[in-house]
Amino acid sequence: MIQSTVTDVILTRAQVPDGLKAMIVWSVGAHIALVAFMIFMPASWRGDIDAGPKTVMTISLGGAPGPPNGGLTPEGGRTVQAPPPVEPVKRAEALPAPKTPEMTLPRKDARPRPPQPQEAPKDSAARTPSTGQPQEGSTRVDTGARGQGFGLTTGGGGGTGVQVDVANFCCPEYLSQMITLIQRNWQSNQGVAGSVVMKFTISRAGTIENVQLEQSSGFLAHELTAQRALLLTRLPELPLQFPNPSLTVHMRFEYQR
Amino acid sequence: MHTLGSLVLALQVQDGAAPLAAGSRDLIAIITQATVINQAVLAILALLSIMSWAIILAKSLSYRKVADQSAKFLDVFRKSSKFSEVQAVCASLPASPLVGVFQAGYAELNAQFRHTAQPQSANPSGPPPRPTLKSLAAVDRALLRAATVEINKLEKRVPFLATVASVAPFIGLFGTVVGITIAFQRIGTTGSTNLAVVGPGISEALIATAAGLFAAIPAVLAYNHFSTRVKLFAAEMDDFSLEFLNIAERNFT
Repeated sequence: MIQSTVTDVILTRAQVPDGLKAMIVWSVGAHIALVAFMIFMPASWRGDIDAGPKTVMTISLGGAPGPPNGGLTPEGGRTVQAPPPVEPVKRAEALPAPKTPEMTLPRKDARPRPPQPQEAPKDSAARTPSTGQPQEGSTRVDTGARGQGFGLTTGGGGGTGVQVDVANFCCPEYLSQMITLIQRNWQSNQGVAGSVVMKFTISRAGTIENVQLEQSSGFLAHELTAQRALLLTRLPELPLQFPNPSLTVHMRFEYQR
Repeated sequence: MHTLGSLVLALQVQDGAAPLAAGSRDLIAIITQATVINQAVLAILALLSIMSWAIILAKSLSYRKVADQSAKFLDVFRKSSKFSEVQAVCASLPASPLVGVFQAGYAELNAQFRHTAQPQSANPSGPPPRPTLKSLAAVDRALLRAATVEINKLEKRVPFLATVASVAPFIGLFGTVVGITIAFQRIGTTGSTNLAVVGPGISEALIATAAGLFAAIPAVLAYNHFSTRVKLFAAEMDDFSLEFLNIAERNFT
């Protein structure tokens, strides 16, 4: 009986609830609020910059159209010097052996022939080779020409350079065809200078979809003509080498005057 | 020759699977399109996180109250000259563990006084005798018992935080490994290593690890914080027990 008083004190104190249930409710509420916040917060906070697809190639077609030379600049097809093709050395034909040689066992101590040092071609060290015949360029040489490798340069000028950064669009011919077709439907002469950037998607079947204005020049006529040019254009199917189902293009229409 | 304006093209290669308008998969889509195993992992982690946050909130509130009331109690204890005065205050400071220790000690003292007073009641003529303690060790034991109970009370549910802290990352990792396994199977069945095929799977797999870490990190921090505080409270109780014993020894022996 005497000890029970201390035990009673201890037991009563041990049975006080710690208020966890209320806190569970609060915690659930806080988690729901957090999830809601994550869902509704601006995408940029999440690191999802919705800047559209990655630009992999920038081609500029500045100024007046160039000569219709198949899409290549004269420089693009410039001849470069290359060593003459090595002709296979003709060997004298030996007569067939009169009789079948007996089979010989390979010798165990036979050693493979040591690699013979190859002679470097003449004049290959420092100077431009002068012995070879000039040939059609077969290597990629930086000739300083704009648009080389794509055959899309239709002229100089315009002020914008070419940045070719091909990641995985395969087919420059398709692009040049696309530009030609769009230019056919485009009224470039609107009386006011300015430039409009349009964004559109080419589907696998070649239809132009999702035409959107990305950058306005401030003149409605510019936007409408650009849009009209895109809507009127019928493109061929996307090339087979291009694996994706659609291709998004940003196209700048520059109105000179 | 006609003059043309200039055209600048920026070509883009669009990721094949993603729709154009919605550039990014949002959180809901990731979770609803995840595999069942991943959803289960996420649900478990959410539950662990909810529980651990509930404990964190409850414990921080209760520890704040404990520290507050203990300070008040010590103040009263040191100022008053009689244990009965202190006992009167105890009811208003229920959260302080020192109150429990004090009440246990006080109950033991009273019990011993009653025990010693009974034989002397036969002699009613003299002045009431000065109460004396039979055993100081018994008071010490009562204080120790109360302190143990109070520490248990303070520590209750804190080990759950340690469990969450150590287990949640592994659960998340499990979800991730399963998700990545499935993503690789998808590569195998479609035969395409296109990121559009693999990317979402890996992304949803990694969400599980993120959720595991999200549950574990606060739990680690809170566990360390709370165990330090419990240690401090325990030291405070030891100190108080010794003080109580000293006073009892000085006055009642």
